[in-house]
Amino acid sequence: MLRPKALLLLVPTFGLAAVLVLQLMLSNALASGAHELRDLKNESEQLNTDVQILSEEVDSLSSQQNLADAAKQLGMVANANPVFINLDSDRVYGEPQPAVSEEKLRVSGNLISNTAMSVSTDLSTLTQNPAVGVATPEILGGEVILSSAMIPASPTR
Amino acid sequence: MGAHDAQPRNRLRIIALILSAIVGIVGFRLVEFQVVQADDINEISYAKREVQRTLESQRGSILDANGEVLARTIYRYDINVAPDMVGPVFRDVEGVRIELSVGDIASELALILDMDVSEVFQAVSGEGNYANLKKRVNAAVYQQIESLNIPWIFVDELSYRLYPSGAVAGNLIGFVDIDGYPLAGLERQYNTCLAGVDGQETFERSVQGMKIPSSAQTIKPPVQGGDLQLTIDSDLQYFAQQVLADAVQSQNAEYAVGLVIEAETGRILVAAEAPTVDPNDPSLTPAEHRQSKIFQNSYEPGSTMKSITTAIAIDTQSANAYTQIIAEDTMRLPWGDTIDDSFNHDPRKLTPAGILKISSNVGITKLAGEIDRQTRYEYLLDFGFGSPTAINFEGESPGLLREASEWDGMTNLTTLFGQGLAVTPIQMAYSYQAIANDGVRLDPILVESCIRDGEEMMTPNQGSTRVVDESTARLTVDMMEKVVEEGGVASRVAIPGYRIAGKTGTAQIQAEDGSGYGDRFAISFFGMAPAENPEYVVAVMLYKPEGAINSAGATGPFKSIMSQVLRHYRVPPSTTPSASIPTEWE
Repeated sequence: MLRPKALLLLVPTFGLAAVLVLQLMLSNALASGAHELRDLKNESEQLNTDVQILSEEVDSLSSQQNLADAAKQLGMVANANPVFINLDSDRVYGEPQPAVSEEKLRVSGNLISNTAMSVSTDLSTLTQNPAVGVATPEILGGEVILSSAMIPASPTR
Repeated sequence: MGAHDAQPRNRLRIIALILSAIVGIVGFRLVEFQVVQADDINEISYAKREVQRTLESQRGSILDANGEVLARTIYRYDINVAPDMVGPVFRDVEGVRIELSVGDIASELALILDMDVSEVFQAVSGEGNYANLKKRVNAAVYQQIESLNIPWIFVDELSYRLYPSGAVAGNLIGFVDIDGYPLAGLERQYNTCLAGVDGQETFERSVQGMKIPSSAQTIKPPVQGGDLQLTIDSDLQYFAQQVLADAVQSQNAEYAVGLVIEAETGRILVAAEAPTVDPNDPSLTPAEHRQSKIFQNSYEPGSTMKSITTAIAIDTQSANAYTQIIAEDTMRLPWGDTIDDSFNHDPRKLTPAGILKISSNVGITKLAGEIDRQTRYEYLLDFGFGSPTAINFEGESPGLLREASEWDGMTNLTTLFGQGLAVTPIQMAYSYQAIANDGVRLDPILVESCIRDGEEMMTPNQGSTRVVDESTARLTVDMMEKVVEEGGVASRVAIPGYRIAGKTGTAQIQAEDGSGYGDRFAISFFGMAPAENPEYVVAVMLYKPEGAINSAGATGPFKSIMSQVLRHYRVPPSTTPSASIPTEWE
């Protein structure tokens, strides 16, 4: 059994030690929290940089300049003679004509500068693998005929 | 025994006394530090730990009518080196720690930064704590540099203005300098909307230099810049710029402008120019093409003014659809000057529609020359000539319209067919908008709104002016339709399925030395569709095309742009025939 005087000495000593240990633990927890925060912040910055890189790529790929160049290289031609169908009256407005790929009918390739373009469409992947570009149209059944049987409607659903 | 007992007790007392003294001193100091000097010590301590940091605000974006981003703020990175710290770098490669010499590192840096190894080596071999290797590299390059983990390379992150569509609408957007200060265009005009306000925070730093969590205190929160939404449709704008650039190239013109206006709302859908500036790097464009000629350049419009004169003549009841004019190809004036048509012809029996169809200077002079000049002047003011538009674009020109009292005899007549006054393309286009919109001219709208934190900070305050009566406007459109239907440009302007109304313009240009008119023209075509209920006004003007003696060079671009507009906005083809009005009489 300890003497009261020893107890008097031990209690404050252990108390002090406990306080110090607690403080150390608290300090460690705080430091570890700070480190974790720094790591997360670094990760967030890293992800922000990734987002910036990707969004700049998207900007370039979706820019009018890139799309025009890609469309031209793929031989796409705008239809200069669109026609309109009035579904109520089954009437066609305008004269349907095939889009003709004549050089004189088209404007030149891209003439509008864009120094922000960092990447452009890789046409080799588009031409070699159609699945990457335009999906092969899926015909959903036979030809669709309007009730009046005047105009074959588009099979597009 | 008693003496032996007393000794330890005394020792204990002494120890207790010493301890009490120590505790007393410590307690005293504690009170002194914690209470008496607490504030001073805290201040000194805090000053050592405290760090102040600017919370950078981000400049807002510029968006087109569909929300496509035309300008936004991103980051670029300056790659710097501390030459005094340069040395070999250790790197773990597949678990093996290897040493890379400065030369190896220089080669790696040169490859990533697209520089010569010698350049990099020179920079890292210097003295001091700072040398710049490369400025404003993009995020991909920055990421590669960071992955090298070189302790003597440090990076400055800087705000950077990116224009993802390049020169699309560059003439309108303007640009900023390398520090983000707006220098031109809407960037400058709407800086109060776009610019944010930097904030400030303080935080405490540990001995290791790390930010102590929960110590951050925002003194002033940053206010992010607002987003500016335009009425421009960037896809259509691109198309128009392509067409104009093609025309400038093929006709060797000085420049070309094109406008598309929604007639009923006054919204500008396209304000295209060629050449124009790529705001990402304005230095690549000559200074004269970094501006917006649509707003800033004025020119004598020539025959496109005849539609306006005709509307004035109808509105003042000086003319109607059946007014009979005999138009010779030349007209001698009392003071000896002559007014000539652009081609020789026998006297023609023309109605106002016929005058527009063959664009007769003599005819329009006979039709409207007798109208009081003050009345005509006031009509011209109402049509928007002689003053900048409500957009008040940076550096916008008011054009040149002298007061009627200052018109001499010749100017009184030449203003009828677009000489003796100067207009900007935007003014001329909006005079046509007035005719297309049943005689009501609307203030042009280029900026739809400024949105900050989801709230609209600014919306356009559009004014309108009734210029001519609705019936006048309708009849004028019907007459202009004859230009496309029967005029010399019919085959070049007509769009199958649609009724188009418009007017040609071939304007002489004053020689710079004031020696009269030179041999180059400003050729234009201004029109609207569908003519039965005009929804869109399209204006095209080419300045000084080579070899052009008529407006044929402007009709092709007009047709291309108008066709695209009708397609783009899914305008159904016309279903009614044009008005039955004569162009000639017997």
